[in-house]
Amino acid sequence: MRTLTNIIAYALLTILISCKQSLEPIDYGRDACAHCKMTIVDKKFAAELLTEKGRTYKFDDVHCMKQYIKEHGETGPKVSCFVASYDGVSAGFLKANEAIFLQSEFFSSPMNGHYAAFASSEKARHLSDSLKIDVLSWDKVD
Amino acid sequence: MFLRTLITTIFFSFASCCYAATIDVYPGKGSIQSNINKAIGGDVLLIHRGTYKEHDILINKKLTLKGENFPVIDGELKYQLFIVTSDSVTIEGLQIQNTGRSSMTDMAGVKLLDVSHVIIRDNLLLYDTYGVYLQNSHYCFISNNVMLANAKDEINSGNGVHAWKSGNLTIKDNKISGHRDGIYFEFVTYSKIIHNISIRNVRYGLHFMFSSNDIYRQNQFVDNGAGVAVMYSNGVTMIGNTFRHNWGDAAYGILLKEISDSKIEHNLFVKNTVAIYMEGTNRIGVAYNEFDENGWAMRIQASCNANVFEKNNFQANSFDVATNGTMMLNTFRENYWDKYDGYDLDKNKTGDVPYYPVSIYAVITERVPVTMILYRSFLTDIMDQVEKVLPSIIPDQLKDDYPMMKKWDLK
Repeated sequence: MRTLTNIIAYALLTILISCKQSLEPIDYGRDACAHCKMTIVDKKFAAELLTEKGRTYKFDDVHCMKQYIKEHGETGPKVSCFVASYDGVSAGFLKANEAIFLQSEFFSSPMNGHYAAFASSEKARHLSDSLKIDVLSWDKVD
Repeated sequence: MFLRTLITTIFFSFASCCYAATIDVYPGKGSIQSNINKAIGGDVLLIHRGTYKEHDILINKKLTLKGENFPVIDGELKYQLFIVTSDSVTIEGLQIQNTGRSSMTDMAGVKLLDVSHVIIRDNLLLYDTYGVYLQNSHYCFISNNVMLANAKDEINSGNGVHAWKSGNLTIKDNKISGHRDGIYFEFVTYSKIIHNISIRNVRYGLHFMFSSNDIYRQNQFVDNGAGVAVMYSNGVTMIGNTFRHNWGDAAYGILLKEISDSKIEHNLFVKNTVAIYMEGTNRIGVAYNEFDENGWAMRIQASCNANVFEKNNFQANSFDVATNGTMMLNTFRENYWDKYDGYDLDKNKTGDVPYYPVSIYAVITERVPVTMILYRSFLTDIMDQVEKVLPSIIPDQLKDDYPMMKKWDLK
């Protein structure tokens, strides 16, 4: 009886885990951007969208993700957006609504969105100072 | 007599003072930079064989730098190398290698900033992040260089030839491999890309962004991560190129997105996953091309208008044409399709019944990609035959009314 409960418990656990929404790692140089079809190579500007249904879409530029959201109306409470941080490739993806953005031609991102994302305004400071530009929040990104 | 001597003397003194000097540079005896600083416009710096560990070499006057037996200029994986800020500079016969890798600056073997009439030829550019980098430069000539890198293992990879906001460039006879994009154009107009070989680059062999009125012909694009992309441009002429074995999930012979008024003629597409992918393209003439052994010869999205496909050969492709719409606004005529099984009773060399290039299975896989698993099964053969008798799924406006009975001779 006990083993049976265990088996059921484990089975349920596995189901629960497999249902958890999670980011899919981007295979750089292979995966294509869902909006512009270009192959994603630049780890500084990549972005990923997790829809309500749990599907993931990958992008090579924050601008592409914004356009995709607009065109497909992906704006529910459960939709979450993630962006790569400009300074640390290993740091992983940031939640877009918590990240700080800078926009400048200096970044020259793949689709000319020219947005760079940072984990905090402190991390963006030396660049925003040297480029003399203000930081932006996610809803100001176009 | 006196007058004559005087004139001769004056002539010779002028001649000697105006004649370009040749300055010899040897390794270990004065740097290249110090010799450039000493030289005057028009001089030739003859750089002799050896290794020069110099960096950020600024060329700010009209000089010719000429290498003898490929002297090595080494950036030790830390620095950028030549920076040209004067017009009419020539750099030839050098081995320019190992630039730094950085996310903050674009490290290049040769960087041209706001210049014109610069010639970069016969150089070896090895393991540089960017090979030749042009910014706001015009009438420059990049020829016969070999650019080799290993961008695959790099986080901050760059392009072989990278041009930004430039015009009237000629990129000719270069061999480029292992970069992010072989040749990258952004806001570049009236330029020619001729006879280059671009193989095994991480992303595209050639990449156009926002560039208009350019020509590329007789180039070879082989085994690149994703083939060639021409995006957000117009007036691009693509003639006589070879697109071979650009293979992978997101790989295309040519990826066309948002481009108009262009020409694709006399090209050879062999063994690409998708030979031509079109999205948002208008008024493009696709003629005299050869499509052999591709997964899809053409994938055309519904957003394409007024394109004309004529006199092409389609052979041994898994799918000739796939589309997600009806594509009634595009024209197909006088193509040779190896899958055509019509007849020609009036002997006018074109078939008497139209050919429908979109097979039923192309439609189904476009809607549900996983059904590809059943491709070439008995079931799909039955569906194909039924569809031929009673067409119901395939877009019936999409047809070639004059399919050729014999292959076009495009050699």
